[in-house]
Amino acid sequence: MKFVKNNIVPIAIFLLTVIAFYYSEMSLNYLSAEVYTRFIRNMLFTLALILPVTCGMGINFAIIVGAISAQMAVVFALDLNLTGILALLFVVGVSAMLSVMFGFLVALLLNKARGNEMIVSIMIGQLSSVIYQFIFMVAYGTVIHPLNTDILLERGIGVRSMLDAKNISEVFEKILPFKFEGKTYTLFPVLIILVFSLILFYLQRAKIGVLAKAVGSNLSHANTLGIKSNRVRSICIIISTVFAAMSQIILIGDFGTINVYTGHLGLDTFAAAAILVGGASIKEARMRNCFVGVILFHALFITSPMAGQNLFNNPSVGEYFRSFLAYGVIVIAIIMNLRKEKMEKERILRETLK
Amino acid sequence: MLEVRNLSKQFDGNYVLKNINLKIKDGEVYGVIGANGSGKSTFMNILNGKALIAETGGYEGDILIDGTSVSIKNHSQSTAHGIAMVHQELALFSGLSVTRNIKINRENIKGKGTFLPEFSYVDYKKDKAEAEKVLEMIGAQIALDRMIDGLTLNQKQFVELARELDNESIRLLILDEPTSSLNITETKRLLECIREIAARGIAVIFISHRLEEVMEICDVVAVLRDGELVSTYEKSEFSVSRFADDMVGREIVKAERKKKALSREVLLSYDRTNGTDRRLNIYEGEVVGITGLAGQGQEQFSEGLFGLKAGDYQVRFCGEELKKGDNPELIKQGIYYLSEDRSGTSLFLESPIWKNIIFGTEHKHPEFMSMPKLLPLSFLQKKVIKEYSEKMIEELNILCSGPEQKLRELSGGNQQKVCISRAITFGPKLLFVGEPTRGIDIYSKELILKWLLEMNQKNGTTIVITSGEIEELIRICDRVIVMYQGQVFKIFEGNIEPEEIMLSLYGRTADEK
Repeated sequence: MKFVKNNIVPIAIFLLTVIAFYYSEMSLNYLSAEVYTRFIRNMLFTLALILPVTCGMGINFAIIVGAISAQMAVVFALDLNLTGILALLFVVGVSAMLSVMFGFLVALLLNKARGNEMIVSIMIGQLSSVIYQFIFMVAYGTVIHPLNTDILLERGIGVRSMLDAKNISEVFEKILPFKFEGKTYTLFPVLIILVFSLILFYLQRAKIGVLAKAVGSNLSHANTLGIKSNRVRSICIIISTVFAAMSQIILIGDFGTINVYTGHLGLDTFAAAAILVGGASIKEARMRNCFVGVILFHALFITSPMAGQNLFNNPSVGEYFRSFLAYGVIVIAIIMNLRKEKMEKERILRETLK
Repeated sequence: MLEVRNLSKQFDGNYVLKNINLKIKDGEVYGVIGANGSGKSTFMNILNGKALIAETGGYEGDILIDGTSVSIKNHSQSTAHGIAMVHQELALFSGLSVTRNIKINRENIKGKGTFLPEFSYVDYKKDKAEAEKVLEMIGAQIALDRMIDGLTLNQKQFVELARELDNESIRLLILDEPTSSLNITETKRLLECIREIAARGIAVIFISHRLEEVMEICDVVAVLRDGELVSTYEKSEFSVSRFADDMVGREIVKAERKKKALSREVLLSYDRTNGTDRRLNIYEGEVVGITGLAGQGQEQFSEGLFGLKAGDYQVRFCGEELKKGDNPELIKQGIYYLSEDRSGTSLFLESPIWKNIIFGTEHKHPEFMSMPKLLPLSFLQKKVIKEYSEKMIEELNILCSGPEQKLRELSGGNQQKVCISRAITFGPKLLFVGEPTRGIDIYSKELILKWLLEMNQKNGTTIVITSGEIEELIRICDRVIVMYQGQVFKIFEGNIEPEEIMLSLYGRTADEK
């Protein structure tokens, strides 16, 4: 009973997924293949949210900035005509550098906006997205002259909206490929996710993890005790941004193409929804919340449109289901988490009264 | 060990500390007493390197440690000189274990991380061993892996103490009101512990409002008044009346209630408390005190009624049933609550004094509004309100620069006076007050008690006071209710003997003895 009470959100979503799966009339193999793809594309984004939650900054919607750094690095690599493992190393190196830099700037802003980090991080995400689009739409071909003019639109100004990222994806495809249901998948992204999970596991037990927890638990106490809270918060945001950049590289490698102007959008919402579905709150998040959440959220995300379509005989209802899910799930998970927290508070009160 | 020469501190030209000179020896327990706003906290904040001091222009004068002048600009410098502080509001982190709390920011790390030390791994085993050693030293038995949230207040206090003592270079320990939220037995243990610490050669600065404790434990006592060090006493010269005279610089008149016959007209009743069929009545026009040791459920009647805590009972007011937690309705009926958590639930710290005084009282004072008929849509009569606030500030002797000052800038005692003045402005039928005198100096205490009594006598307000200060309750209450293990244990009336109340706090009666 206690287990159900503590995990009410994931359990509710799991039940919903089972129902949706039943009505969608999909095969389990199809579902697992789809979930696998989405798992590798989204997992690292979700893990990126943990440290900012731990240090009390809520969900870092500015992970978009990390995705943007990766997109930029990939475009640069294409511009320089890099291929093979060299291209991947270049992209990793450049995007890591950029994301540390951008993450630092984001942290500066968020430290100024104490108490409103979530809303400010959303705005930072939106703004950086616009600036980024502006650079590639207008500056390329006018101010910046690429070496490889193939990436430009025919009029010579602005990067094409869709570029071929084969140079990255071909590296991915060669490492640990396996066949499932006639399609080829690779285990390489899982390997990367595993490595980053271990890094995060380590960080949570390193000094930064302890300090982040302290800062998240009570900021003013942390300051009283001489903990450099701004530094701790900045490091958490930078790590989060770097994680997001790496995640975007996996995503591009898996797609094989890059959507220059839109490839980075919406990921923050999915990641936030996934972590909340996994049972995290905006005050506390663990790694298992991420793993459970990503799998559950995407399973529901895949099955629900088909279920809606089959139930109501109307394809547009199916699409509606999908949009409802992305946003509705966030709201519902937040409400359920708040209720859980309130009940927990009342329980403590009652115990102290006895 | 520590010497302070001509230490001064100003905030925007106002000196809150003026030319403080004092010397503290190793192993000495040095008491610092003074009224609220006398500069005690500022003095401590300077020694502890609080950011607030540096941000407002630093301090003037010299601080010498072992004869060499040092400058304390931030917390880490203060720590480096071996100065540690236990805060009145415990600075512990919920969600972290006892060990983590004791070793916070001083964790044993594996490997040397000079660049980005935050990325080094924490050696939890070593942390635990060291934390255990410190806890053993102060004689506290607390499981090291337990989360802080589950501990009692007393245990938390020991964890905080352990955290500061864990710093091996500690030379001076500052204790800011360490006993303010402890009961008698707990206080005794803490004082013993402080003695032991001092015996190990660590100097202790002990700040407290409870003069008996200061007399018991300190070797030297310094009295601060209005930012000046007015006197220093050696142990042989200690006397409460001297301290009190020096602290206020004037005679204190103790507030006392003229006993009168109770009306026995039931104003409010708690039925079926805690599942039993017992009933607790509050009579019209009385002043009633509710007391008990910490955590015996004395808050359930006030906080439960206003939905801040669980309360297992039904409430009737003037015969009509009330819904617990429906605060707008309660206030409409004329029931008002000033919580013991003043800054948390009773005040708007970022708002000016006048707003805090009149908030929620507009419908009772149409003169505050320019168009009373429009009610919430009306503009406020700033001039009338300002005059009214100034009158209140004068009558309650609130120390401030004027009604426009923000509440955050006032000291605790003055904030409480603002609370009381709002209650006066509101003029309730029934007023609940939680710990009205906690952390407040003697002079302000009596003033607050006096005003509570005056509300009772002039306006006929029934007052329910939840407090641990038994001596005060006896002085001003018609009845004192003692709580024990969540239940009403005994109700005292008429001439109340303090000894009897003391016994009943522990769940005993006089005949048992």
